[in-house]
Amino acid sequence: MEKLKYGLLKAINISGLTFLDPVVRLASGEEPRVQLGKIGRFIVVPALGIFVAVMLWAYLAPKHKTKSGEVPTPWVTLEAAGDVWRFHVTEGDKDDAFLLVGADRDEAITATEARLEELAVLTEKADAEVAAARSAADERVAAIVGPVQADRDKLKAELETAKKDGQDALKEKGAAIAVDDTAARSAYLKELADFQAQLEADDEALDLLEERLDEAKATATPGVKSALRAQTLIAEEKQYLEKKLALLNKDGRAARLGSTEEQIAKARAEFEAAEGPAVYASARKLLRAEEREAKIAESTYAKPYTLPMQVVRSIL
Amino acid sequence: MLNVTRRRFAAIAAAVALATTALPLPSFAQETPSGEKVFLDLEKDALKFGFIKLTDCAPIVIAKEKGFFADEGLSVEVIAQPNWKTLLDNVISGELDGAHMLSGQPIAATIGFGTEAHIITPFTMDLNGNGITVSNAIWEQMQENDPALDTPQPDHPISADALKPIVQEYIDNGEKLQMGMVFPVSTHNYEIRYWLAASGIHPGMYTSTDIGGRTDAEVELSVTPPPMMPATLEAGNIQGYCVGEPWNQQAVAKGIGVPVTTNYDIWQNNPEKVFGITAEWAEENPQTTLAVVKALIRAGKWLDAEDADGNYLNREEAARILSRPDYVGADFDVIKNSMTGYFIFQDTDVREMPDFNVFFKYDCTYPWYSDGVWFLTQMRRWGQITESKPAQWYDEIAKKVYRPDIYREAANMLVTEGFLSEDEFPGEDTDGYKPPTDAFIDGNTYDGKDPIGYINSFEIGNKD
Repeated sequence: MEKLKYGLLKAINISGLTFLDPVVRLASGEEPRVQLGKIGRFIVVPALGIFVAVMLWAYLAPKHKTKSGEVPTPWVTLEAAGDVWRFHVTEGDKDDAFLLVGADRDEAITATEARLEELAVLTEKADAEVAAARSAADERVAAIVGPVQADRDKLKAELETAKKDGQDALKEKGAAIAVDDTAARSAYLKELADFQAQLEADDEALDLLEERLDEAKATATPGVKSALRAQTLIAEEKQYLEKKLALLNKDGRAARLGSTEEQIAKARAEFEAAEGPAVYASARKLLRAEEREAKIAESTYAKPYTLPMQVVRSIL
Repeated sequence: MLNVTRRRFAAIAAAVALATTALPLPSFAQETPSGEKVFLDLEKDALKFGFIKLTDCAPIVIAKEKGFFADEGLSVEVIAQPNWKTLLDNVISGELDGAHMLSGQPIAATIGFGTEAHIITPFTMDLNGNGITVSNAIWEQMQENDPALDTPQPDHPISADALKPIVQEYIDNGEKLQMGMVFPVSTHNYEIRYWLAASGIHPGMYTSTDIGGRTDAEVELSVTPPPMMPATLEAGNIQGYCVGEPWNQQAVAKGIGVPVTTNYDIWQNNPEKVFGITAEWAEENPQTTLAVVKALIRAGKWLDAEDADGNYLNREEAARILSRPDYVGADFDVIKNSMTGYFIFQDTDVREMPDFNVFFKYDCTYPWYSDGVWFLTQMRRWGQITESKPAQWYDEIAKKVYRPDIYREAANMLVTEGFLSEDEFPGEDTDGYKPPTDAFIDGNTYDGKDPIGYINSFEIGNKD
């Protein structure tokens, strides 16, 4: 026990994870109160700090929105990390499926087909949910956007007629001013300036309504987003499984070697039976078939460089 | 040496036989509809292709994901590139064996505009697929200039006429309207210039001293990589851009901008992306090239497969594959729109455009010389080709870059295998030039056999 404890403490010391030191000492019964105090200072408080930081992140992130996107919240980041890992795992699985032979391959085929059948059912459900979420969202949006849209159209039409009438009236008035009536002219200038200012104020009012309309249009439709995400997850799994099935059934190394075997047997039979000028051609054909087999025996699945692979590649 | 390899074969054969005794030997791994498989002696079977995150990289991605490359014995890694310049450099340096390229890239590289290298293309990847989007503020001003646009569903195509007064306003204020495109020799550059010039707006000329193409410009065009276009629009650095999908629909989805026209409206069924390889690589790996083209033709055909009513069968699956993060990575809904034949101009204006992305129909995949000549004429029009050239030069360069001979060989192999029928690609009697067409937004007629006449038929641009 003592050896274990001091062995662990040495390992902790060397690795630098010294905050685990009081945990080991507490487990072995050494000075419990002191150790608890240390655990409080070196584990609990920092964990609390991290927790507070994450909470702050989750609170502040949605506050900054632009049209290009939103600052991701911790949950979205976790989901995205999960997606990256899931992609890495599925590509590795396809890589393995390419090389399977024999009983393993049979098992994999049955398992994949079974899962695909399950997914077919799930896909239908997911599609139905997306359609339902979309129509619900449309109703909501129409109920909110409709009135604002009507208001804005009305105001726009009113402002346009007012602008046109005002301009016409001012043009008439201007045309009626006598040539040397300077007082009237300066009064006219002032009137025109006031009219322009009024137009600008009207435009601002219209802009406010437009903003409200944009906000209404951008009403969050969270139901649709989550339904789409569920649908995407199912569809992506389906696509990966279909590709895996193709690799197992016909594109994998075992299947292609199998069919090449047949071709070699055929070519060999032809060569054995050939006479005269056909001997050279059939011999070439046989050799080419054998070369092809050698190449296929060493072929691999062209796996894309997933993020974990890229990380490993840049470190090593 | 031969004995050793034979022993190894025997060992492998024994192992496989032992391992698969429980299994009936699958004979459909190399099955073809006609039962005859054309085997190619591949020089290289582990390939790397590059692409840019656009939906029209679909033929390459689908050829990989649906096993068409695997059927040819190829193991292909499909790697996303950050921008068109890096993609071109990687192909030229040999890091990539081939790539999804803009139609103008092989031509420009071969004539020496930018990095020089002889790049050829044996396969055109798609037609159409681009749009021109402007910011919300510009759209509102366009609606003020032209009340006909101020309806929930304006008439399309929308020309740049409503933009002209805005351009003038900017110039009067001492600034210039800024618009974005993806590369100096991109189809997007030539299309946005065509659109602007069709309404009398001068988009700038290239000269020997000005490689930015801003001489005499009333609108300044700058380069941004496609995935960054919506962000650049929102930041206000540009007020409009021409880019491929899904980045126009992305702008609509986020409420950043409004697409005003698509390149289907500017030039109906225009060639968009090609599959480009260096001439050197094609010479060193002829059988591999044929295998690649075979797989890509099959992928194009799969993408355009329709049922009896003309509905696309496979586009949703393709959109699902493309939405993966290692491919295009945009939301499935955003990609699905244009891929399944709907284009959303505004929330109220959703148009059916089944030919928005064409991957196989209308002899799309055949490398037509007339496509190459069109790009050369536009390069001359805007001054990227600084000197006047005789008409035969255009024909020669098009024949250097576009390789229908490789396409035809690959297509004939597919016919033997039963994957393609002879009427699905142009016959031997074609001279590589499409018939003259006037399906442009300004109604101008393009005849590939008369490049000089075509260059001189425009008001804005160089004349020969």
